Amino acid sequence: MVRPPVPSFQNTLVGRLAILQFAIHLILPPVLYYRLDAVIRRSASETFTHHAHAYATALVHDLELADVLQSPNRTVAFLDAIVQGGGCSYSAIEYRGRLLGSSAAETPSWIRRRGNDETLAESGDGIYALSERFVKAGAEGAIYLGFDTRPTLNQVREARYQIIVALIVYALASVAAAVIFARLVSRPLTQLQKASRRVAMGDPAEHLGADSTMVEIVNLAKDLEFMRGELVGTSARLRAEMSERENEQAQREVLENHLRHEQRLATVGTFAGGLAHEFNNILLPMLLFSEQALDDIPHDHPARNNVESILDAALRASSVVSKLLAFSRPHEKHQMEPIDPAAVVAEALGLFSALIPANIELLSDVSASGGRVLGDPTLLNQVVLNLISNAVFAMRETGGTLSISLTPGEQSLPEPSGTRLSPIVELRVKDNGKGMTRDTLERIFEPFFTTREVGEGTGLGLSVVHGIVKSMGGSISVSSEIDAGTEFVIVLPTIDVPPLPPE
Amino acid sequence: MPSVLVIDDELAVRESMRQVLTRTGFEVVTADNGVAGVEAYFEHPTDVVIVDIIMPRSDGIAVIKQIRARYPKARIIAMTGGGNFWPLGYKPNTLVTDAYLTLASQSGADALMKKPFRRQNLIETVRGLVES
Repeated sequence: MVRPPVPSFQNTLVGRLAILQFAIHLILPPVLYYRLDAVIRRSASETFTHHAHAYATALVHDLELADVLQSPNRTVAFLDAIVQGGGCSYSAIEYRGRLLGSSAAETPSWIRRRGNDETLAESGDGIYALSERFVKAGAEGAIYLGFDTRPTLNQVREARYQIIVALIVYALASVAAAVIFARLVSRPLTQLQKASRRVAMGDPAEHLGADSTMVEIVNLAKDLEFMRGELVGTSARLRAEMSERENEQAQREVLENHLRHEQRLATVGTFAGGLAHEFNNILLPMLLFSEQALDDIPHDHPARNNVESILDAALRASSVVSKLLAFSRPHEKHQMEPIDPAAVVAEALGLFSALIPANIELLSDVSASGGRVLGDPTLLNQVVLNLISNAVFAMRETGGTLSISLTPGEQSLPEPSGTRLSPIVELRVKDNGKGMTRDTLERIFEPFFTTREVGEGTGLGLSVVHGIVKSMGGSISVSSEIDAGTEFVIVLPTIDVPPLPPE
Repeated sequence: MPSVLVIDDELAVRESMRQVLTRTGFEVVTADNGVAGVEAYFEHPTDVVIVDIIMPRSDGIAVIKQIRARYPKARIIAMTGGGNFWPLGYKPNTLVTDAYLTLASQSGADALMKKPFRRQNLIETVRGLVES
């Protein structure tokens, strides 16, 4: 794995290019300078000496020795003319080994050395000396010339200075150009990078573009933008799929729980049905025998009370069993008739309102146009009364509000070709009483399950309600929170029948 | 003296009904299963037959059909404790009290009684049939 670079100046594009340029211009200009300086010096030197020698050669060629040697005055005039006309600073002439004259009072030592230094000397008195030998009138002689090198050297120095300035300007310009170029490249890249990060942080609307005219960067931006589109699409699809899957999972769990619950209730119901049969067969002789016995026992006999108690108990037992049977017949479909649930609820409320304690407020919202359901009005009445009495029981100590609502609605039913919306009515009975625990909620529809004290209830009420709602093709659900209250929701399918004509 | 045949598999049921009906002035014969009940009736047809619907071996429905087939004028009362009687081969959640009684009525029972019933109820039902 490549380690990411430390974010410092020397690791940025601008920094790298600046350092590279700086390094190049630390080496390149001095080298250039020395090369250029050498060339200039050599060329100046060659030009200078070439001119000097050409002048000397021309002098010797034009030399009228007899004229020059005519008198010392002529000699001096000749030498002065050389100095004035040839740009040299000194001149002397020698013939037959004797110095005839010189333009200076003192003869320089280099004449005595017969110096013929061919290079341009910077040291010393700044004079470039040369001698041009000649043979005239059968004898040897020489002209000595001394050229002042300082103006030429000054020119060379001037050129060198200009080179240095030019090189420095060039180096600075190069570094600056590199930095500007690097910034031109890095700014759009940084833009792209920041936009990419925003996309990665979850801003799918961010557009990936770059202010650049460089083909590579424009292409990069274009491809990144394309990638962003794909990414956003894919992530949206993934998110949708995930939430869909979660929903499905949750739905499946709800359904599984429901099925398990229903299965348990069905088993218990079946068992309860068998039990009811047994009990009825036991209760019948108990009733008949105790009634017979009451005929036989004289009115003042102490056993009479006991037998009466047996009869009462048997009668109570038989009422419990009949409730149990109501629970165990969820699939019984006969005795069904179209009924108006609103009328049944209103009737139940009418029956019950007188019995509701003063500390409980009753709120009812029963809409009359809810359609009709198929069922037994007595049983539906029993359902409503059961739920109301439970709610009242839950609030008997604290008081509170009992709300009952009946509203039309729709529910989606699974079908081979998707789902179908089917009309329903929804009955809600809600209290803000003491609520129930989860464990209680789990078992609330089981027969004989009760949290009440002995004598306060049989534990059959809600199992009967469940059985009745099932027999009407409906469903019942309950939600509860400790100390906040409980809500029962009953959903009943409505049927499509014309309303009854008014009587 | 009008006679009554009580067919039920429970001894206590038979005996309590015998006591009530005997004391009311009926002659009571009992049988503890459907097969024996039908045989007893064919031997000595009684004025009224009271038959439990759910019994081991030939059940009440079969008894009603057999008697009705031979004696169209027989007076038959069907009774049941209801419930889903799955241990005897009835499918769970298929037939319950009212459904049993409906079935009995369709099979030819003249009167129906749900167990447990009161003494008065029994006497009136039997008397009603005898006097018809």
